[in-house]
Amino acid sequence: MDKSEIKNNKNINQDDSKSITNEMNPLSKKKRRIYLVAFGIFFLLCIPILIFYATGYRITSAMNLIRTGGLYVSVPYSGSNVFLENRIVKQNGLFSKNIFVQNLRPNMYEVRVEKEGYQTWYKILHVFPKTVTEGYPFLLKSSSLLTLIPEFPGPDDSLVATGTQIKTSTSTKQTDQYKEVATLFAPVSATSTASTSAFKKTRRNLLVENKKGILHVSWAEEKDSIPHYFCENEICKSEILINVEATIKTFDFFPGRDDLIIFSTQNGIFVVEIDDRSKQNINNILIGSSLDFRVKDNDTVYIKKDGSYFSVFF
Amino acid sequence: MPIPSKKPSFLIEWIIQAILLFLMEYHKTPYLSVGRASDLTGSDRILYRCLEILPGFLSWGTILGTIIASIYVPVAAAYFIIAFDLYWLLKNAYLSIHLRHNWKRIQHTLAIDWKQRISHMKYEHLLHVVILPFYKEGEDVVEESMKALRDLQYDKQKIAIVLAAEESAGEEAQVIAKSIEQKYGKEFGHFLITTHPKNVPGEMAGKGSNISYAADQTRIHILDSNNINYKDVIVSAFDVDTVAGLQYLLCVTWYFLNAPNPHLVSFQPVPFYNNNIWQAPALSRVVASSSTFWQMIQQERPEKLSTFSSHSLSFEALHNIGYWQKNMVSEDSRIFWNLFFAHDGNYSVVPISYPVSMDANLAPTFIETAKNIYKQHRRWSWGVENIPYMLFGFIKNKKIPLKTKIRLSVIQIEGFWSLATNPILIFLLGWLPVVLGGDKFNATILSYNLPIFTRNLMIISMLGLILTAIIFFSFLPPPPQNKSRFSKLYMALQWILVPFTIVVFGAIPGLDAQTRLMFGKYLGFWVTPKHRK
Repeated sequence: MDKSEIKNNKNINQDDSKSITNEMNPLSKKKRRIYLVAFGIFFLLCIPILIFYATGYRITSAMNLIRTGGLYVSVPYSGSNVFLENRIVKQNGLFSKNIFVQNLRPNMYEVRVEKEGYQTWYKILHVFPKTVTEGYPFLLKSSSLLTLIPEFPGPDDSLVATGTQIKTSTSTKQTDQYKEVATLFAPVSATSTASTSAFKKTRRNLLVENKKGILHVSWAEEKDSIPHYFCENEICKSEILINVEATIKTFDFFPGRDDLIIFSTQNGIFVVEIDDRSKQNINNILIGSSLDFRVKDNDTVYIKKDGSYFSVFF
Repeated sequence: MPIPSKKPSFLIEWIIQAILLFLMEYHKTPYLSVGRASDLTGSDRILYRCLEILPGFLSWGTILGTIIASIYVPVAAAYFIIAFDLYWLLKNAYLSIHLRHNWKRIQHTLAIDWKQRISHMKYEHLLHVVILPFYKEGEDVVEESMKALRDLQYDKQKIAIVLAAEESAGEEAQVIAKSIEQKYGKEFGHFLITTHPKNVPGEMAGKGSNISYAADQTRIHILDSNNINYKDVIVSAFDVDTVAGLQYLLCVTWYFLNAPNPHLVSFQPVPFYNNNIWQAPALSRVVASSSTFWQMIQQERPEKLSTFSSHSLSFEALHNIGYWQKNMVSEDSRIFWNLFFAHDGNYSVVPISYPVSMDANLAPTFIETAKNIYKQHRRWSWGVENIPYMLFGFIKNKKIPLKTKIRLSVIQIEGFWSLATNPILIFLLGWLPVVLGGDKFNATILSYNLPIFTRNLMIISMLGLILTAIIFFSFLPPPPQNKSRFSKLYMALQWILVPFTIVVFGAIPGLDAQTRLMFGKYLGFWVTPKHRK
């Protein structure tokens, strides 16, 4: 069969359909081609627009093309209010705690996170073109809840406090929990590793050293995985200092976070963020003198106050 | 004329083959009935094997390429994913236009009185042969199809029923066949029971070998013995659960009589899965309906259409190429390619937009139903075995125009590639650059916008489900009396399963089939169990 016959027969369904039903044929090739071309043109027009938009390009009211950036704030609690330049951006909910804001011109922006009953977090963050600046606020309660660790069990199996309280229990056997906590606060010899670790802590390649009451934070690994707060617009520091204008006696990483340090001075126990892109936020846990603390298993904070031990609920 | 397979020089062998193929009619070559690479020898076998690897290579290459790009060039991968998401959205919109048009065409076709339409035509000389293959299905399943055939609006004396049993199904199948013959045999002009022998060398046990045997037995016992001209016979190859619409045969007759050459076309109805739609679980309904919608879309693109499942064609055309292939699984689509190559590209499919109904997957337990759905779709996806057959045929058949070869190659390869990769790219890999791209990429605004864009484009695409739900409802049979009043609501809500079904019962079985073909782990025929509640 020659080419012309093949061509004629290829049109069977098209031409034949018209004569077959005279009413409803399959979509004609012409119509389908028009749709296809229209969708194709739409695709080709939209793709550069979408990609430019996705990478932060925006058109101003004056029809100028600018490069914008974004802010990402990861809020640890629901029900917090997030302010950007003193205007509320969002009250985050249970299922969407984090805030992402884009279309921001490169500039410095004040970010504030507030929640009733909690200490406010405030930061000035620099937004750069085509990148997202991240902030990880922390919120501590305005007044921490301390729970006393009892030394002896009570007469009817209730637990009894010691220290300033009158011991009414007849038992002289200390509770396991008390013994465990007391061990944390036991004095260490100058030559033991525990002594060394009092001045040096590491977590996830973050090294924190206490040098004469000032904390020096450095990253021990490659730059690729360095925490975001060391860098701004791809320029990274080798070290961050935490200088609170009082001598830091004891410090450790805050439970569950490796960007927060819990420390004690002669004035009390506090939490500070490592992130020094603007003033480091410091929250109070307990104000007072002669206070000490320990962090157990990266989970629980115990405070020693006036001979008694307390666990802290944040 | 034998084709030499071993020659001193590869080039000489190729030249000799090319000359022979040019001179010889393609359907007389052994290439027409190739089932797999091992059916060939020498360089043909190597070539065919390479072509078997191709579909899986493309699909896995796309998926792995996206994963690797997400690691090493996450920005480029993100651009690709955004572009792909937009492509998917626009493709859905484009195909929805086809779907909507075919929806109207089906309604139009069903509204026509086909009896009246062909009343002025001479068609009494035509004989319809309906082949009903069955294996171990129960008598209730077979009987329901027989009742539907009995109720067809067509002169029953002009219908020959061929109940095609398998010897391997045992005595029970014979008992069922005899019982059906006793109840319904006299209603039709001809009723034939065939029993396909088991373990025939060179054959793969399955529908293809069974109905081919049945067709030949029909020729011997009905056509030849009654001096019926093959050109006056229309064969409909059904599944045992196929329930054709009342005027199906009238509709096919009309198209047969009006085709310029009815022996150069097949007639393709639209498969619905409504027999047990109210009994089947939501998962089964969504998957089955999705298959229907795809066939409806294809009906609007006849040049892309090949035969699928139940279809009809001229016995003359069928006989001339030796009936359906007996050594492979997807005989329903392969018959189109056999005829296409036998006629050097001059064969097509007429989409008649008339519905036939079959069973949606239903098993005694939900887990079994899910397994059966997966297996069925893997068998349907095994239609990818036609890709190497088609490409091999294009290489060997020099009479088909190059433009046709390129066009069909692109269409068919794209079809199987998109089946196996598109849902995975859309629903699973859109997040990959964010996960694998590293901290530097994750600091870019692109990494934050990628999931947002993906999500939003997918939500817009899902709006198309509204149309599919409307179409689904329009073809739904009335609910049984024992169904709760919320059953229709469940039918509407079931479409939220689409993102899940399109991956688990669409892409993954597609990828499974292509991977098996790639590694030469050929699938055998799997009979979908029919279960009636």
